Amino acid sequence: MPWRKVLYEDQGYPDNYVDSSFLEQMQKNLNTRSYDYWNTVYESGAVTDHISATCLFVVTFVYLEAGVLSPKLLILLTVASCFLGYIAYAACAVHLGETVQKSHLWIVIRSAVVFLLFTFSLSPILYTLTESVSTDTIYAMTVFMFLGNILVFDYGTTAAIVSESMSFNLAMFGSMCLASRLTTVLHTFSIVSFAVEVFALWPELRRKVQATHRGCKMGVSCGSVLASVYALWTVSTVAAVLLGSVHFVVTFLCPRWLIQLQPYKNNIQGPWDEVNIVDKMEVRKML
Amino acid sequence: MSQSISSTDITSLHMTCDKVVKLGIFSPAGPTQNMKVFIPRCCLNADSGWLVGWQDEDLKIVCIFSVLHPTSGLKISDARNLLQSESERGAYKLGILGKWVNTTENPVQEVPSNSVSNLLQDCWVELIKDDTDIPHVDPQGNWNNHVTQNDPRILIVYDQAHILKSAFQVVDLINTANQSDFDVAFSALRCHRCFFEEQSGLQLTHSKSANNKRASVTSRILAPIWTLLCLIQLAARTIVKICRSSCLSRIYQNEVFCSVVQYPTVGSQVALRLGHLSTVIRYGETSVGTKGSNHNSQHYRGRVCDLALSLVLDVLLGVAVFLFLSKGNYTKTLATNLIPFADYVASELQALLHWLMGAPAGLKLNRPLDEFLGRFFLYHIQLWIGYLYILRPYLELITWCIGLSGCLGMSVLLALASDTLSMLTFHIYCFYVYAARLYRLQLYGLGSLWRLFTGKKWNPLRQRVDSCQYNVDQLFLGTLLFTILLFLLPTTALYYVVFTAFRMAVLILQGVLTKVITTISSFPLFSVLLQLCNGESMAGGITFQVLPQVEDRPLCLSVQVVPVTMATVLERHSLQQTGQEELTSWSMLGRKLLTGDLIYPWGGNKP
Amino acid sequence: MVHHVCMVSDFFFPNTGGVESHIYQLSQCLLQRGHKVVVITHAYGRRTGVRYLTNNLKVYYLPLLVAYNQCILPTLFATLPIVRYILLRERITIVHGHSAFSALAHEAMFHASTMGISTVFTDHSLFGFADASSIITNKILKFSLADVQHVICVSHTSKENTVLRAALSPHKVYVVPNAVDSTVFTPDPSQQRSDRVTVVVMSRLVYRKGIDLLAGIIPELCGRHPDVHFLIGGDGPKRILLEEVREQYQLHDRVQLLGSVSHEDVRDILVQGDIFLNTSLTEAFCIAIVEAESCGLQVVSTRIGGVPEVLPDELIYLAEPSVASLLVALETAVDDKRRGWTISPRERHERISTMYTWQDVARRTETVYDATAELPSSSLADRIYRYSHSGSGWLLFVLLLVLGNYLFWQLLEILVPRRNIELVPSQVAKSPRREPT
Repeated sequence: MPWRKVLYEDQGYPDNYVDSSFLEQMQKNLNTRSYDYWNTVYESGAVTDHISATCLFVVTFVYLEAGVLSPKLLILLTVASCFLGYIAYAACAVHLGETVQKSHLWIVIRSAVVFLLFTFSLSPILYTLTESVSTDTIYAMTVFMFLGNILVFDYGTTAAIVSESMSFNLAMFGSMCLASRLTTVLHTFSIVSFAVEVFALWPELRRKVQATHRGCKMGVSCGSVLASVYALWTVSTVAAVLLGSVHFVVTFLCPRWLIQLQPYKNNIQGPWDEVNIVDKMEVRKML
Repeated sequence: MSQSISSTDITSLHMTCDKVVKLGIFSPAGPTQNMKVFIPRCCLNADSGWLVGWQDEDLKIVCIFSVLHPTSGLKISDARNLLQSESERGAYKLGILGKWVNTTENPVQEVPSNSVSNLLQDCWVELIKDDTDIPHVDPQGNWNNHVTQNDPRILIVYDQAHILKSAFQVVDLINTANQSDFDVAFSALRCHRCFFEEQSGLQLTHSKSANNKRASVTSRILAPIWTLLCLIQLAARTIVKICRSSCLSRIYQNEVFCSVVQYPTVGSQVALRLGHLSTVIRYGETSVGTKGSNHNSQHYRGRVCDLALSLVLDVLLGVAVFLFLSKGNYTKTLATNLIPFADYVASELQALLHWLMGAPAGLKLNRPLDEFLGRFFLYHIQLWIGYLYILRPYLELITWCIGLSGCLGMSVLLALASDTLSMLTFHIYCFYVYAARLYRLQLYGLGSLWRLFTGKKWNPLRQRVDSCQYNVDQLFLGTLLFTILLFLLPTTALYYVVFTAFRMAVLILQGVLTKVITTISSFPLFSVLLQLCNGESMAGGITFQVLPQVEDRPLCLSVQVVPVTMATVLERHSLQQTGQEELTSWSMLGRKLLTGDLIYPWGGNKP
Repeated sequence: MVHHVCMVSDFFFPNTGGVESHIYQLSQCLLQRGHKVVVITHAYGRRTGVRYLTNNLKVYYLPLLVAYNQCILPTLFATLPIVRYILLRERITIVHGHSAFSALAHEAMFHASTMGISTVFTDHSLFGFADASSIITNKILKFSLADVQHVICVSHTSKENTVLRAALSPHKVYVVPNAVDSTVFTPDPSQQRSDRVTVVVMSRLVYRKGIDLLAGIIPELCGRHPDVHFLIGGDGPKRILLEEVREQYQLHDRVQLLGSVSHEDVRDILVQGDIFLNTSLTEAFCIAIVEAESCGLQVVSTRIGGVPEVLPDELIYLAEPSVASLLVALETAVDDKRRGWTISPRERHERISTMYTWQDVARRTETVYDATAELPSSSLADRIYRYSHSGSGWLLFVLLLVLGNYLFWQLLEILVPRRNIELVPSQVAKSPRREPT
């Protein structure tokens, strides 16, 4: 009598009998994707964009602290780039076929007012906040905060580690740590507003540009990479070389590595898996 | 001399009254299956005669006190006199319960069925003793209406002297609702104490045994203390009558007034002592002369003695302290030394604050906040110094009044001292409250903003933390405030720690004083003295020994009273049993300190 | 051959559950077959020390710190002295660990193999491979099962799963299913009602039991068939979901939520129903459907895990784990019930009572023990070889643990020598005690 995979009757086989159909229902690597190298390189642009933006911000701070960049100039630059960015955003939206609503504009203005008000009123507290803390501690904290920001930033994937609000908060915390190192209220206000622009508004614009046109996106990425490397070069050669190599690794070497690791993937699926419920009823959204 | 039962017992059961009740063999007094016969040890080998004692047909208890031997001259009138002289005492009527037949005696005497037989009640038992240790129990007459042949009978052997000596039964007051059969039997025994002490002309077994001579020791100790207490009562009653007649009594009834007066420690202590005094006086008024044998009333009597002695001791100590203080003129020296001491404390505090305003111990403090807080507290110290200067002329009078209050009792003096201490350290209390509230607010804000930092939110409906999508400006503002609060935390925390340390020191001092006051108020002096002098008079429970079983004979148990330990006396007779707040556990204290919750003084009623 | 078996698990009486009753029933049947059985578990509250259950089943409640989810804090070396002492004084020949979640079972088996005593392990649940907790658990399982002589699984699917997780040779794994006490789970014809069809659900209300599917089924089925009632026993975080469904569709008189049901009341609830619905998303064996079948109910279940192997096709309606498919199966069952085309409860009960019995489980387990006893004992070198090839990684760390335990054991042999350990005398089966007159 052929062996059947049942428990309710004694088939005359010993209990540790291994049939030829053993592990027949096991499926390996069911949901794997195959990656294309140049596509992956293009997609990795999102990461390099963000890294370069962060570096640009840090360089701006260095200049501000050294006194080379005056705070008034920085504020002017921030406001100007804000306007330009908004126009570009609107242009992209038009290109994509979305209408820019009045309420959206109103929300933007309201946010800007709230932000300006609170920053300006709390700046006096901010700039004396960490007087007694040593510089090294502050710089170390800032580095960790920005690293964390890069780690949990939303690059467009759905991984568990991604948290939009957390990344923005970490960036803000880091920039406020830096801001507290400065000497006057105006310095603090300028750097904080610049931080908000770099970490909140610039990613939005990037996403819109990416959605609009591939070529634009690539241009923007290349531009920001070059700008950040050059800016860092003026501050410190070593840092610039380091940044350049990081960009190279992230853009070209990491995709190669990802594709090389694919054959080692060992996803096992079988009848023992907990099933994912296919049809989601509206009632489940109640909770 | 009575023979002791051979102690080759198989099992030795040690139980207290409560556990025996739970075993079910001896259920609470109520209709039970088994018939219990209590017999004194000395009667087990007695010659034949009549059984004298008390019985209850409904509870199926036969309590034998003694065996009346039929001498030639025994007349029925003698027997009746014996019984009636005792029958007037309370609810436990004496009677002739039956016959005791001892078949081993030589020569075997028959219990004559003479006129004394007429005194036999409707239900009577016959106990026949033969060669074995345990006699045969045979209910006769109307007992057959209450017990059947198959109902188990239990014979309980007791020692009269021990039972009578243990007058004060330290019993768990909660369980007194269900009196077990033992309580009933022993109450009957104690009720007829005089039966055992009188020397009647009749030949009774117990008068032959020497054990009973010590039964009256307890009453000898109680007598002088009792007379002293009666005198005190008389004095106190006259005072109270005067107080009551005045219209002050109406004010005392007012609740708001009471709560206000009890707010300071001294007020609550005085109120407590007045309560004790009124208990003593009330007892004296209601039950002069009657000595209830119910153990409830005995316990109450013991408690009243405790209270009275405690009050007396308190007042004596207080007066002694007052005399000592006034003799040595210590009040004046105390008053004159107090102001320089206070000045010294103030200057030390100012120096401390200046140190905090710098960079103390290399800590990372935020200078603007530091300076602000430091200057705020310095201003308060100035206020306090001014307040002390206003008090300066009156200080001597105040200390003299404190000493005088010792006349009301040592505990009142200590309470007043505790209150004075808290008044003098009022500024420390204020500082502590400011610092704690600020710290707590900061921690609360930090907690809430941390949740925002990680993208979560507290859901009060579901009482849990949920994820939440915030707007950019909300995120920005939240992070900004979070940063500010985080870097300002060390400064606030430092001030909080410093002032909490001061407050803790003051609280510890106050706590020590309160502990002394509570000990004085709640120490059961009378019970402790009684336990020390005559330990056997306080019973903690009973012990059983199962005697070797004999075929066809009832189960025979020997009961003994277990004297109570000092620890039990202190615990059960403590004067303040209710209303004692538990000291908060160490972990709770630690948590309150960490989160900035305000800590309130121990054992007091201050909010 | 008489074996001296020691069952070890964190989960035992007074906790109630599948693993607990499995260990208890198996121990009782093994005792009846003449073996000696002792149980080791951790102390539950104040229940600590040695206790005796029915038929003199000795249970050791060890006073160990309970850390998480009823399991002890895994310290590995701290349990060696006491486990060694117990194993020596009871003269244990086989240590049988239960449940992969139980830290105590793993530790005891590790100590037993250090002392040269054979070990057997029973796995009661299925695991995934993908998420972080599964990866760690599987690594630990690989380490633990490297030195176990035989493994018992409760279904063929579970065997496949365990073989993959722990990288075992399939011949080492035996399949011995669970069983049900059919004397307790008997049908009750008096509870049958002709005016309605009652669907019973008896499970913990958590995600993995498919309560979301149930929440989708209830309104649909109640809408289409006015005589269908639901009886739901059990409690959990998803209870709110069912209550909300009940609220929204106004089904208060047709859906009854009983809350937490204690073990002894399960049968009384089951016999009130006609159809038992199981919507689990993953199950190794699913004893609930067997219990329901034994009580004479029709069974509708999702086709997951080991469920297709448990009951023959005529006794169960299987469906895919989706609301639509389950609805089809349920409607078929309801239809059959209305038309009387079902197998009678008595016949279901008769069939189940021969299919899954604890005596059979004990007999098959005894076969495993016999096979284990025949295996040659392994030296330290063999063990190290096995561990290094188990794939549990970090060879140096593994070596450290194995050697450390071995040295500690040798130290204990010197400090607490065997001759000082008083051996428990073997019990002679007594005749039943006379009642006291």
